[in-house]
Amino acid sequence: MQAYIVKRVLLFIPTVILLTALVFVLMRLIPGDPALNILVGPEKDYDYTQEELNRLRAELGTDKPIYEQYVRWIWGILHWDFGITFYSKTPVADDISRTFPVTLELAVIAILVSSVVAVPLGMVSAVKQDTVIDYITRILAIIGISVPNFWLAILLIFFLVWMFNWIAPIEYVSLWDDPLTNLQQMAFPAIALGATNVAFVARVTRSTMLEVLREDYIRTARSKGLAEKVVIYRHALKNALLPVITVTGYQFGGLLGGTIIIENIFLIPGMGRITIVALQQRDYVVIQSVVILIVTLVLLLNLVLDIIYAWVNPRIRFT
Amino acid sequence: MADHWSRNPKVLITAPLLLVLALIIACGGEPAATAPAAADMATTAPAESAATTAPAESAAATTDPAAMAAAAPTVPLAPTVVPTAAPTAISAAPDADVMGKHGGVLRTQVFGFPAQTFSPHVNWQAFVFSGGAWSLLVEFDPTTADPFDIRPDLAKSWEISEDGLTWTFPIHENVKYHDGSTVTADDVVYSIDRMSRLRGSTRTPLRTYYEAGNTRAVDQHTVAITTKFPTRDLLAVLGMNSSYIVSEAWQNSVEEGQSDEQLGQPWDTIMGSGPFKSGEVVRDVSVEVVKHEDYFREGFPLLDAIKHVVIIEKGTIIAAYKTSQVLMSSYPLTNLTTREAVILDQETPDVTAHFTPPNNTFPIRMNQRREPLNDPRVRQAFNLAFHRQAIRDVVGHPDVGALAPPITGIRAAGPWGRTEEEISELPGYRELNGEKHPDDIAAARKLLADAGYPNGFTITYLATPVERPGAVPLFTDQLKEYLNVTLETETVDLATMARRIDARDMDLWVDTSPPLIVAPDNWLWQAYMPVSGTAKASGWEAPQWFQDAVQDQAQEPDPEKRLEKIRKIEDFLMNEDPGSWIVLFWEARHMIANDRVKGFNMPAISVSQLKFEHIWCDPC
Repeated sequence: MQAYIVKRVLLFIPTVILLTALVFVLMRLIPGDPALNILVGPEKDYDYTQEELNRLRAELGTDKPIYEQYVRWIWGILHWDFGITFYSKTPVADDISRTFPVTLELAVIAILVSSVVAVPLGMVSAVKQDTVIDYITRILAIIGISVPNFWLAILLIFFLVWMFNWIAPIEYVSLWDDPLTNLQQMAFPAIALGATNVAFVARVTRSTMLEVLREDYIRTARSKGLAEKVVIYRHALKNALLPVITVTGYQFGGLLGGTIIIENIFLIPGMGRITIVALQQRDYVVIQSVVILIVTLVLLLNLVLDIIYAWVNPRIRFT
Repeated sequence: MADHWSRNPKVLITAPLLLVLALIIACGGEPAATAPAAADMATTAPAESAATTAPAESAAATTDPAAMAAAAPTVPLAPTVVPTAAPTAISAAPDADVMGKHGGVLRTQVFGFPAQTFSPHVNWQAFVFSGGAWSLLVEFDPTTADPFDIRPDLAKSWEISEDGLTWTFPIHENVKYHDGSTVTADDVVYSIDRMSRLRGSTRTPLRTYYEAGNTRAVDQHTVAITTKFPTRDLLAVLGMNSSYIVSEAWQNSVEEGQSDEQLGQPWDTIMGSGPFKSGEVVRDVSVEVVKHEDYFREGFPLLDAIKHVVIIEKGTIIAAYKTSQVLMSSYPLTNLTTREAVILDQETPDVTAHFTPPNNTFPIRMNQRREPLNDPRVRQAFNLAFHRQAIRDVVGHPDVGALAPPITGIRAAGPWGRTEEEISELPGYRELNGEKHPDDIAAARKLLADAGYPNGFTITYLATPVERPGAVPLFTDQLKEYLNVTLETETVDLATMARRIDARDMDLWVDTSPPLIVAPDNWLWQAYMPVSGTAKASGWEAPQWFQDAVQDQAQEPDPEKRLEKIRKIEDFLMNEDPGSWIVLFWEARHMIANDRVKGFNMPAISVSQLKFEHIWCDPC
């Protein structure tokens, strides 16, 4: 087991380094120049000189060779210094500290909401295989996977205004200051964000349940005369949930990335808000910091899940 | 058996759904955003407040072009020999019917967060948030329904020398900045010179009339500004929202060590002498301004605070207005199109879309550094071929957009402008039975043939994701139908567009028009003269006679003669070469306001100052 963990951790480090380089280079490949954006400004004012442009590039450091910019950035990160934003000239670390907990909360609520809905749906669908309930659940799952979450978010807002002439308070309050208001603000973005996850997890639950229900030990349990509910909940569901939990863990990373659009629609002041603005402005420092943070988190999560899975299932660590 | 219910699949499915439904219902029962006690406010909002609510009602009527025409041109901003106007007196305290309605926090919607800096004179987006933080020498009077009235602000009055060149402004003596220090004449001198020194089109209008170094402090509370030539339009420039008066000591302290290209100024350093001072700011989310207790106008501001909330997505903006989560816009720009604003107004009984007169252009820009647009005949063919009525009706709105010539359209029905009948006869503007006039099409085709393109050509249109709905198909269809020109559209994001324009790698594109003030000569400088960013982007080089004529008309004291000179310039732009861009129509900017907002008069132009001092809400 120790050898397995060491091997996985050793793989983790070069993966992160490779990804930082990839993110850094990709950002520079996107057309657009932050210095030019600053000079032209929201007025779209092209009244500038080449000297002004060059001076600003030097001030931002974007005139340096790309490898030099990369090394400086990585060196900063190692010292927990993500750099200074091009525009507001504030430390990126401050922005991340302020927004990351909000995004994390949204992703956690989304995963909780989706799990609470998806697992029972998938289970019922499996138990009632090829019945109307199963068909409805499967259709809903396909719709859930197909519908983009930003569109669902807009529909949710439309529905709330149309039905109740209401939307959640637009001024964000933290969970610790006012839990009820915070939950009102988080509930609908979490639904929009988690909808795809509901569909996916429900399908996984259904298929693993069907697989488990055909196992010999289930047949044995039934032949012993156990009640069907006991067979399903005590024997089938517990065993079927292991892959579901794993899949849900992997989905969490996707949810973190998915918050970018949802946060902007529901006015949640998380990392998504600063990322969208930074993308429009080509504020490389902010974008690459946010991306690398999410990527590292997803990789860490995967690492932890792999280790847990190997611990639970010894066959993994011997393959 | 205690967990028996939990084994029931029906319960497992319905429970979460019921929970969500219960949450929705629980939330839905709570009225949105009624921060101040409604009962308290009700007792302080008597029926006689009709006078202060009247602007909202009258502004609703501004969707009617006739009403706008009647409302707009009442100021003596028409050409005058030498300005001699004396300011009207300002009441020191709020009107009696407004008194007692103080308090509350007004929540407004704002379209974006200032990208770079809160520095005044530099970033117009900063004005959106910090407008209430600053004072000006003079301002567009926000308390009257006449949107072009100018009244003193920091100045107590003004006087003009006999030669019309020197303006003397005595300023109020006990005006305090937010830190308690006093506003002095030296600060005014510093601010005006700083404005004229900084680059950018926001400052261009001032530079038209003024050269740095020509303002002096007569004494500690009197300043004298000497212009390049006699002009009444100086007042309008000084009333623009980029003309804030700042403390020299403070500005120097926050700018220390910074370049002019990137003046970073954090929100907590904002320090003006306006009715509101900086409060809490959450980057990309909201900005709060709170009441300045030592504001020099007694009894003002009426609100305790304003919270500007950044809402970018259109669906969310509409939802926020419909549910009264925000009560008004911070600025005459909301991210909604004119059409969307009109629909929101029509659909929502307690929400009104207020429109400026149609004084912002919707222009299509042309890169004149490469073929075929380097040929003025091609540009003029395009100018004649666009069916402006169709574009206005689809891209803008027929009720709030105006067809007007490229310069005098600033006040479509005002002293500079022409009548609708006159405009309807002009080449490029006329129709026959509701269709594009065949004579214009024939003339455009002939020009194209003369330029060597009898069978048309293919040209690229650079579009952005925020392109006006309906614009591109109309451009494509009209150019194809009338000129056999094929428009290939390439959609890029805004940063890429800036890059492409910088590299001159484009043919046609639509961009926002620069900020506008009420005088035609300023418009000419911002859009057509070689120093303007617009002319630089398009590569248009105005003929020397044109440049001379622009200078000449600005200094012409006789109003009739000045108008003649402006018309001559305009005739050239309409009949020979459209210049930097083709003005397709003039559109109105809008602000949205809930009927609970009182004392609000729509600004005449998007760059006029809105200090919010006279605005209150019932209830907030």
